[in-house]
Amino acid sequence: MSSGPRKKALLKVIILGDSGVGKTSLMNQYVNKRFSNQYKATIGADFLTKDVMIDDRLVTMQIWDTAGQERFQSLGVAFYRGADCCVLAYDVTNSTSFKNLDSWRDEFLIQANPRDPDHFPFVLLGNKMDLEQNRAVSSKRAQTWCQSKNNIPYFEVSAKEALNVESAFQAIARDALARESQDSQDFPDFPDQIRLDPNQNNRQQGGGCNC
Amino acid sequence: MSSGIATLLSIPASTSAPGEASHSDLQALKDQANMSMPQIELPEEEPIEESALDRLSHYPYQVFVLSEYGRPIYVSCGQEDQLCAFFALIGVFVNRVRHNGDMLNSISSKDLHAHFLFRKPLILCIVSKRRDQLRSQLEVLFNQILSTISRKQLETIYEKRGDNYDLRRLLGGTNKYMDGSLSSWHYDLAQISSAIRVLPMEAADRNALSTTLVNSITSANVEGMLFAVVLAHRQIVCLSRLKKHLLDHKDLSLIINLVSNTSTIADAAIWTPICLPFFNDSGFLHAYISSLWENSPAHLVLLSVDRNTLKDLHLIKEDFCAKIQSSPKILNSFEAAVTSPQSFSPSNIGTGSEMLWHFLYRNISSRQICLSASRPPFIGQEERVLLTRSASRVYDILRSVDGIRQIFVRNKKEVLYVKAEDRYELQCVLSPFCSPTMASILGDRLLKALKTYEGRYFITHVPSF
Repeated sequence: MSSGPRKKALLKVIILGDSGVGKTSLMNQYVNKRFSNQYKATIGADFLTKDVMIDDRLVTMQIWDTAGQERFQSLGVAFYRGADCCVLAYDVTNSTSFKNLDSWRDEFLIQANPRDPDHFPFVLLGNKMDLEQNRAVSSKRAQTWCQSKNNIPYFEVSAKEALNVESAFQAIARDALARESQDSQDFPDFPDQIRLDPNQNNRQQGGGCNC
Repeated sequence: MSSGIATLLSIPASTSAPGEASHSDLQALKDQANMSMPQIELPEEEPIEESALDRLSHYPYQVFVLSEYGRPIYVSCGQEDQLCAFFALIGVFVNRVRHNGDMLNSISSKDLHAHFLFRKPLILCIVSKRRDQLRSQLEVLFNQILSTISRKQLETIYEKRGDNYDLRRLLGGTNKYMDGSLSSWHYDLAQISSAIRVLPMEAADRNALSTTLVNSITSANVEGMLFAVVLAHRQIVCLSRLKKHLLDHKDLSLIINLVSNTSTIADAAIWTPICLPFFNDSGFLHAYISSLWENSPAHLVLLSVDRNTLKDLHLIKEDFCAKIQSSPKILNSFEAAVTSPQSFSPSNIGTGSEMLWHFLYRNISSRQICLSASRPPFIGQEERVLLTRSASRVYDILRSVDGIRQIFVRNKKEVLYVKAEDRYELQCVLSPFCSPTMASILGDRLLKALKTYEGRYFITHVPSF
């Protein structure tokens, strides 16, 4: 069987952060180019699809916008596993949401159990830059945190004003894609030959045609 | 949950986005000929997911395959990447229930039915307007996937490559086989009855053919040679096997699916690894498939455990072809059976046969079926589809309710009579004027006739080598 044309890459992206930091707004701005001031808490998770062009390659992002409330965190394993990238979001006007980043990151690594946790791609987004006058976390503080975590890329964004959102996600896709191509060797070979042992063949009870 | 899916498939096709200019608006603008064309505002781009979901609502059914963690692998309408979010949702449904220590099997609304099958590391889901045989369709599709990636590979691939591995890489090029597996449920009574169909042929002719096949295999003496199958029109002509090894009917139906969905076999031979999960689900056999003469609907499939036997199997085929070509008797009967198959005619049962319009007989131990030749009123495509659906419903009922021995249903246009015994199941479609007693008498007469002509419609002996 021929392998056919190379499939469009597909990335599973998880977005995590405290309740109210604007995860859903970021998604909505990025995917639908819309913003609403109304706050509606996410129940469990929302899922969105976005096609993005990275250099000459079309990539589909499957975005898992999770609920920030603690009561949904038991869903973690199913949500986090198999992710290609994790987006951490905090609110620049809310220092608690920044302090909690460590626990979100740890929780993700425990639940997702990625193969190379030290180099798993995270991105940090500081949202609500439109409210910069109320800023509670300095840029420097956020950058220092990112450096301490193996140089996580950091973007200051505003879902409301569509500031930096597009470029942040471009970076996310590019990073995850780079990892995918590093890891592109599929095993085409077929395992060892079946050993014919007549005593083992009739594992299935009945069902065989009387051939 | 169910209402969510119901809406999904019932969204009307042409919901125009707000702000979109309708055709008549445009016409009105054009009509104002002396005015310059004002710029019209383009509608906002509809999110891909919504338009893709719209598209789904037109299908009678849809099948999804995803990784345990929600990554899209296959959707029967194609372009799985446009339905990423919907795949994620299916994954969450299944995982949420698993998280509670239970298993999600199905969700039903009035006119829409979703069935889920969790086969670690995969989730399969079918959403259908019909409710019968949904689980079976998923199980057979899973076997189809196993024929490309053995169970052993499937179980280890995510461990080796990470949970984010894109399984589409390993399944590349096999969508047509998955499509073929699913579409067969809509026309192939062998698939519906989980059995195989035998090409009608006189017993002596069939024996001569299979003896020739065994002779070619024996004289080549190829180490690792395991099974040989001659098939045409998705029906088995003859089989042979290595001593002490059996070919399960489910594996045989995977072979049939492979052959009938590979368009290139027509003039060239095919060599492909295939896992037959009911024979051995951790390794691969190597199949050599070739047509038997130019433009022949008949194919020879040779299966070997040794990947280095391509040349040897080709020689077996050459030898087999030469032998049948040199025997006019074998060749003529074979060609006649393949080009104009003689299905069982109800007239074989004698008196009352005009009341018997159609039947499907299934032998339970051999998993072989026999179908009546088509006759009025079941000639056209639509009538055949109705028969297929009726058979599918009957099997669904027989499998889900224990102990049913007979069913008699009188409809306006026909009578349905079903008899289920330990050794066989018989479904008959009869004239609407047929009484229950008459149906039973005709059924018994039919069984007797089938016994008389057993050698023509069933394979009763498979020679080994």
